[in-house]
Amino acid sequence: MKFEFDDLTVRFGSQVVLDKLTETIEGKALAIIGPSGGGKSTLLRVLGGLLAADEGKFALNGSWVDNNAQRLNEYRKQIGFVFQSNGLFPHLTALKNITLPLIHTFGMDKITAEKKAMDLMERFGLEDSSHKYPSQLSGGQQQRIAIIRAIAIEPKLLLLDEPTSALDPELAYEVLSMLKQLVESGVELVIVTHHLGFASNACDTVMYMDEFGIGEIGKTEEILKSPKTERLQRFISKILSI
Amino acid sequence: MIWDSLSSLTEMRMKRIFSWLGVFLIIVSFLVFSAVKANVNFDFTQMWAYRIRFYQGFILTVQISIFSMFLSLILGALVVLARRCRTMIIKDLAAAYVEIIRGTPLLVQIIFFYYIIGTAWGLSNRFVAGVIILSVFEGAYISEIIRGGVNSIESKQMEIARSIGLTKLKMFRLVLLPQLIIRIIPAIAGQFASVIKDSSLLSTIAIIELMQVTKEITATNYSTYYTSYIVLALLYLLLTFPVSMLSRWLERSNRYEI
Repeated sequence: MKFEFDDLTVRFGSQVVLDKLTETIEGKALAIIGPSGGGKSTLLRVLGGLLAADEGKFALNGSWVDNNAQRLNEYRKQIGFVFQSNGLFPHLTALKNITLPLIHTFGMDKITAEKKAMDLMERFGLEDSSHKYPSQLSGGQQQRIAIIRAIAIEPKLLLLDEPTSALDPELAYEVLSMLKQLVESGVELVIVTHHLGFASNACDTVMYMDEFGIGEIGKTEEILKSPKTERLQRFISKILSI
Repeated sequence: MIWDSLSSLTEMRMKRIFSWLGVFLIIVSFLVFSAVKANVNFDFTQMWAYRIRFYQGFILTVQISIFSMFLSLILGALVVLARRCRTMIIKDLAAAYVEIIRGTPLLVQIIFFYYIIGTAWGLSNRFVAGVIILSVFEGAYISEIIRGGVNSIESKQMEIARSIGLTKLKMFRLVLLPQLIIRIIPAIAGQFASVIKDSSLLSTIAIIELMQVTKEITATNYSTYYTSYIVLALLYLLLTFPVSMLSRWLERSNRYEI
């Protein structure tokens, strides 16, 4: 994947959350790290086409995305998005959650869509959950179903917004090992995460972001082992000290 | 084991039946005791003579209620849309409608609409006027129920729907509507029971529904006064009780959040 940002700006009222980001990022799996309130989730929502930038534009693999509603909707269809928590539809079973976009966004017939969903659930050991409603699933299972829904459409890119931040360590492990498996099988992703271990094990690229904008971008080992800026050094030592 | 759980199930059911029997006995004996104390005589045999009139009133009440439920649901939904409209005057008009209707007694509205607005616009058919007045009244409450339901569905659900590329129409049909219906069913059913009971006020403009029938019977034969009103109450219960049972059943069979 290759992202290019050109003067990307997002404001909430008078607060500038993203301030003229101009950057080019390449990699297979990108981890965005940094303290809360640094605009990580906002950037991810812009990249997912869920939030239109106030100014500037960005490109995924060379094609520029603007604010036109219809083109934005077309763009969203190429992206799988996983939310922090409660990302499923509560009135639908796990199976129906997964087949909904396949059938209603991509026009797949029901039988093919269900087979595809069942295959994916089996691959990740979730076949027993297929007829359960989200409220009957654990947080980890919910997130894994949400990930399956996102990858079932075979997106160009999978975006994940702190997918484990609401989970116990054990459940977070389930989700992260599934993601690692996906990265190994060639799925490209961008993940906002606080798990530096996951970033260093599964992601080839890391971007550090805080309220002053993008701090550092680079290969994972370089960024995490020898951070250049003081603010990243401080952030890493703070996280590792817990 | 199976036998044990089965027999405990029947035991539970028997307990429920006895409990309801007890409740029934308590209510009836309280009423009978009060009637004896107040020196009121009930003579239900007299009621048989009025069976056809009761029947006709009952049918009219059912008809008015069904039409009004239907119309008020449509009106309520339209008002919700109007309140979300970008044109300010439409939005404010809808808000004013809800406030005025909910802030004034139905009896006042019936008199005002029928004698002033109805007369002014040449609406003389009492049945049609009654249905419209009742629908306008209940529609305001139903719009508030629907609005509350829509607001209770997190905006996040819409964002998820957007993230998977659903069109606006599909978002509404596949995500918003099914969740909304499940959430508002109990309240809507309660409102439908109100429609049935509130229709009794239409007797003021001489629509010969159940209440008016009873008024007429008791006016010509005063000795049936209390008995008639007891029959009236039972007939209203006969209508509202199934509505409330149905809503409870729908609520249970559509529950997905445990």
